[in-house]
Amino acid sequence: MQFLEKEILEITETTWASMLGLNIGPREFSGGMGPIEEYLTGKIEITGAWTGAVLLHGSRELAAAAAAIIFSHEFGCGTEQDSLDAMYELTNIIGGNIKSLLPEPCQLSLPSVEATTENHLQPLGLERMSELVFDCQAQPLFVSVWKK
Amino acid sequence: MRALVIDDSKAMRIILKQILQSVGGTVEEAGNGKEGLEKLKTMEKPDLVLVDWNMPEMNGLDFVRAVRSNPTYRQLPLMMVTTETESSQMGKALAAGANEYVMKPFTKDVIQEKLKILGIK
Repeated sequence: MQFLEKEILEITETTWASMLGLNIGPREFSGGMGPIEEYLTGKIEITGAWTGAVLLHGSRELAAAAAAIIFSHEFGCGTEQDSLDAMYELTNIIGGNIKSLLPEPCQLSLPSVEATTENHLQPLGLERMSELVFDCQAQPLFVSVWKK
Repeated sequence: MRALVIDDSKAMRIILKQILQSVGGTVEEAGNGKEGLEKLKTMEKPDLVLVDWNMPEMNGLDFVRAVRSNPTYRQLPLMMVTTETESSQMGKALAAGANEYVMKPFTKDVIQEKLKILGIK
């Protein structure tokens, strides 16, 4: 069992269901991320009694699908900025709820979202505590918690 | 019902706007607490303000304190909508003058229930 595995699972499923009306569940067979150019990464930092970060690597298709629901447009008709905005809020919600499970007091940074790079896969100075892989409409989402 | 939604996330502003519009509301938006205070000066007095906690420039807690320090807005219903889910944070927000506290993620039903509690139609 990974660090906060059950809780991360529940938080992610609840966030997707409440905010998007979509089911998301653990991916049976990860098979790795594949080409990182196909991903956007949302990152939110936690400082205080516990210092680290929560990262979301979502496929661009997954982010575009979330944006289509939030901004009420047809899938494929949104902009890259819509996808970034959708990932921003999803990172904020999941990161914030994970923070509430950590020792107090902790502060949450503002989220940041950008195209995934190698640096996002192994953030400098942080140790990976857990990584869960999800599947939503055959699109992957990686949620990971990193500790300084 | 006329509402002001303050959140740095465009996605969250849209989500809340759609919920409020679905119950007949009209919505103005601001991207942080400072913008929210400016908006309050220029818009017709709202029936409700929904405000996030973590935002650049001015956070939601400081916005609530600033609003409550102005006699014009002592009775203005303020709802914090935030990922700050610890009870200690909720206590701070309510002590500062927030009327209601909604934790993200939420459903449309939760917002509608809070509107009922505040007596807003």
